[in-house]
Amino acid sequence: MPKEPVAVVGVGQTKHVAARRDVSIAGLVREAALRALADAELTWADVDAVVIGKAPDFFEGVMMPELYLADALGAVGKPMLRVHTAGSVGGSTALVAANLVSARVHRTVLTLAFEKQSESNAMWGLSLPVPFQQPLLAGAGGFFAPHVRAYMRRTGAPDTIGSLVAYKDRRNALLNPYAHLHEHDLTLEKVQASPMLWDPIRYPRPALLGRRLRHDPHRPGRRRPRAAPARLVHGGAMRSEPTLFAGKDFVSPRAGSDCAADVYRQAGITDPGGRSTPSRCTCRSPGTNPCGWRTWASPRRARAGSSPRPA
Amino acid sequence: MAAGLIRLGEAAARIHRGESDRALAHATSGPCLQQNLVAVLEGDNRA
Repeated sequence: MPKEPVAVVGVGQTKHVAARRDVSIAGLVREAALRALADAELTWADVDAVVIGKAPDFFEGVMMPELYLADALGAVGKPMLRVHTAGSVGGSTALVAANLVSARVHRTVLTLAFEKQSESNAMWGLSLPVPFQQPLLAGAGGFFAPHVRAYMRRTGAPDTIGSLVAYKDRRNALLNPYAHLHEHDLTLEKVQASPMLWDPIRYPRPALLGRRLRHDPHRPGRRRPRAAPARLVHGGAMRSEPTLFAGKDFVSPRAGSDCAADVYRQAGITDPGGRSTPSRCTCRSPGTNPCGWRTWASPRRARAGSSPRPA
Repeated sequence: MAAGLIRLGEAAARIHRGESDRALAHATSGPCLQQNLVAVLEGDNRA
């Protein structure tokens, strides 16, 4: 039996700032959910189930936050599933929600992920103090910086790539009124001159934290609530590798290329690097333990350099 | 703290009592970062 098509019909996010002191975590998630519902022209009553993703609870110190947030998300009495794959949870949550729709378990799913960094400590939250031992790395950047250096050495990637991505991200942020930073006068040179944190990762980093995106996968064929076309999801996959095993390639883990290949296959894309392929692929950075790659493919205008290339 | 683990124990108990040959146990989440453990338990009739 073929799978049900899945589409994103609404997206909402909160205004990203350094600290949202005006809302609790519940207020934060409800704000984004309301915007997603408004974007989809749906109401709380239209939602069949809620899928919520959260990175380790230790960051904010609110354990099992999905239980606390059921009220804020209109999920009381409805199925609620919490996804937890550590750093990869943003993407994996969306995958779970999409799979629920494609498997016809639910028709309309509100899915979301959140982080409230002003009430958390993402850098040290999982670094349990071990006596008589100096910490060898600090935060996710400290863990990944050697891998980044090795990848650049192996592939011959220019050392300006990271700065270029960071600059590109911040230029794109100018198009999003909810983005944290609107740096109108930022230049590539300013990014390259910024302080080094973990060589080669500098202070304006390519990856933006604190994403609070939400969307509603929804079965097309039902009443279409809005004039704008829904974005169909053509493929999605996740791969994991154990943190340590014999033969593991830390620099370019096989999970990443396997995942990308699976998504392209699902979407019917045979030449991901070619210019003729209208596709966009988003590879999220993995969590530290276990590593995970989530890759989406949706039909969009191709952008140069947007496709991942296995080393 | 161990409410999820109890589910696994109850599934195993059914097998021990002979009420099931194979059982599925699901522990949803817990305050010590436990998350969605699904286990299939099967009885073995070897003495």
